[in-house]
Amino acid sequence: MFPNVSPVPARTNSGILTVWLGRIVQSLWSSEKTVRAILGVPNYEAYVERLAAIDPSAIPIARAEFAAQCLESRFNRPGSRCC
Amino acid sequence: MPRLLSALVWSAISIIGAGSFAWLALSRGEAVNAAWLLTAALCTYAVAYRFYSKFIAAKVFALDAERPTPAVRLNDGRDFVPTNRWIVFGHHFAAIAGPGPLVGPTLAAQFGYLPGALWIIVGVVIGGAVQDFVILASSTRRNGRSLGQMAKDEIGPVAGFTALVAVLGIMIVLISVLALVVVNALRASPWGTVTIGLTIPIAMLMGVYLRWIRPGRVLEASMVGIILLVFSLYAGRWVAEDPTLAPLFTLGGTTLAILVMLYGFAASVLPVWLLLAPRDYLSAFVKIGVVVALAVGIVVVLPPLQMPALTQFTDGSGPVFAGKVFPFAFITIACGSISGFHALVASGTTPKLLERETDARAVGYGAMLMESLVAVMALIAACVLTPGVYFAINAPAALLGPTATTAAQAIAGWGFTVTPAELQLLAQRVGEESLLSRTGGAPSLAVGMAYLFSSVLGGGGAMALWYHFAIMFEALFILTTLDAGTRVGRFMLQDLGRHLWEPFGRVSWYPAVVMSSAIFVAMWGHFLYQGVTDPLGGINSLWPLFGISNQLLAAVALCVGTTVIIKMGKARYSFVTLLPLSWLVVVTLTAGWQKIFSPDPKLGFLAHARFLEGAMESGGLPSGVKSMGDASTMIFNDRVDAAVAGFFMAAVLVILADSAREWLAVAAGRKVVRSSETPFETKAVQA
Repeated sequence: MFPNVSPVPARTNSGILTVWLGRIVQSLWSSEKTVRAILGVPNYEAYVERLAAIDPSAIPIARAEFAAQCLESRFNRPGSRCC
Repeated sequence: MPRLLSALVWSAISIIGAGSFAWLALSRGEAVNAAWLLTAALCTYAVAYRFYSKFIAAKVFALDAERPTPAVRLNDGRDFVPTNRWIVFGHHFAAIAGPGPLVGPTLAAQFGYLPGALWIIVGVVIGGAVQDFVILASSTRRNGRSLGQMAKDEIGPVAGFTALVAVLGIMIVLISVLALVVVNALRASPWGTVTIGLTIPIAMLMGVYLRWIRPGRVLEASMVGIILLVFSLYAGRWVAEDPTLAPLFTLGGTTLAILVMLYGFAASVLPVWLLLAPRDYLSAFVKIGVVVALAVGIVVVLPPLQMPALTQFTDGSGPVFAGKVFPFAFITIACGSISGFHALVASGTTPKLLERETDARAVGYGAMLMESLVAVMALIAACVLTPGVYFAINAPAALLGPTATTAAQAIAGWGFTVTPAELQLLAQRVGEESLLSRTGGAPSLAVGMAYLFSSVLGGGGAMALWYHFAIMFEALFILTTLDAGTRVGRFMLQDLGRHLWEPFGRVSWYPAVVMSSAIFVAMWGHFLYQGVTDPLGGINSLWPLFGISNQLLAAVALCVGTTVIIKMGKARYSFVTLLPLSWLVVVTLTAGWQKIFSPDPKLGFLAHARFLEGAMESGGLPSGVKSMGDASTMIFNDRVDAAVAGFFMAAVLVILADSAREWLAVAAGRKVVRSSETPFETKAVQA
């Protein structure tokens, strides 16, 4: 159900509770991407990937610089947060 | 036969909705259960979404899933990013939903539950959701252009400039009135003050964590933040119960107002990553959590509405704010029915994320229905209080007097019963010295929510924690709007100011940043200070100004929408935006006129100034006004408020006249219409 994450812990003596706890923790981590997108957190990986696709010779700006630029531009025009 | 089945299901939903409305409207004498209100709302939303939004999507805009959106065409992985529809929905909802839909319905409950409920439910399906959807679709077809740019392109430079100045005006009034709500909630409340105060270092800690310790791990940082928020709730109680610490944090209105101004200034000059961004993340989490918790609380408890359908205050004599049910119910509730501010969000980030044009329906129309549901829930939470308790919390001190006994007498004079002992017991149960005259809506909503939550999850002792939890999250929302708004206001001021003096516009030159921030904080701070020192509670004068300015912006948005529709050659469908536009113009102009010129000093700004002048001449001052100097300040403030209301009315008329000129020119064939839409490109060309 959640590809690309460490495998679901095998059912052990500690019982089904551990399995479910493990699943809950995993689903939390795998949903992080969704949550970050909803919150509008700057997505550096997507930017680098896209830049490489548009212009392979372009050099992406550093992660911290990218995050700072995105946040600055988000909070300097009306409409980022409403009443 | 699926067609027949669908017809049957939708007929049933319509009948259930209509039946619930009839029950709400016709019940008299007995308390109506909140379930009827929820059912009426949900059925109306379902039918409107299924039929009306589909009509707008298919007939008016002819949205086409094959037509590449700006996010697809201009994808740069940064501003323009094609995003899943439900993620955009969440993002858009988190951006539009703030304290507005919680506070407005609570204040409007003074008319009874019916006017607010009808306006929230009917207003959203015909007005608010249409506005958000139309602006989102228009902006998506124009590479994500902003409302101001569209006003300039579609209508003309006069409308564009008026929209720009109107946005600045609404920001000033919005921030000041929301700050006033926070100040009134925290006044003489050491628990609340400590809890809210601690949210600032918590956010900064998260900011440092996200920048230096674990960059980008927002979920982790937010979890830590939420745990610390719970801790701050207990820390507040600990301080409030400590006899030496409690007085240190028992602050008066003016001190709190100055602290809030300093906070706004700090948020505007500090780097975004340190304060604004982490607060924003935290607030979004808390927002979604609280909306879900409120829904669960209401559905589990299904409380009866203690407030009558209509109170005698529909005649304009209400203690919470002056003015008759028309036009003031429609001004008081903006967010939840129709909020012009949403047009800025719908023409901001959202159109740059839509993966398909057709997603605009769920995001634009759907998210606004969701906000309307939040407003309905806030109305329910306010109406679970008995009218006596509701008015004890929301009426100003000038009407209630200083003690529970005088308050109970005043409330009995309005025909509602509450005993002084009940009021004292309630204050004690929520952990406050007194709940009297905590105007602004937030405290009475918090009491209602504390009642709901403690009914579901815990006995009497839990009510104080739930009350302060509700106050904390309301203040968290409000301060998030306030800090982001101050920063945006600073940028807008710099942009305007650079025409006068070029260095003022340099956004990274520190003296300009400090100067423009200080000027903008002083602008909203003036109104905040005026509200805090007003013996009538401030909400009476500031909330209607906020409502008028927000509806003015909605009028701008609907003018833009109408122009877009007419220029698409769809003039026969322009009723979609003209219907809510004409209602808003009538409402804003009537309310503005009454606020300025009403001969009743409780309602009209100028009449109030004359009343004070008369009192000064005869040497006696009305109760609550301490000195002649205070009275002169109040007279000056009344005239400023009248001028602000006049400015908003003039702005409505200018935009409307400029738009009508354009519509008539197009209709008469005097103007050749050139589409400002980005031309259709097929995806094949793109790929």
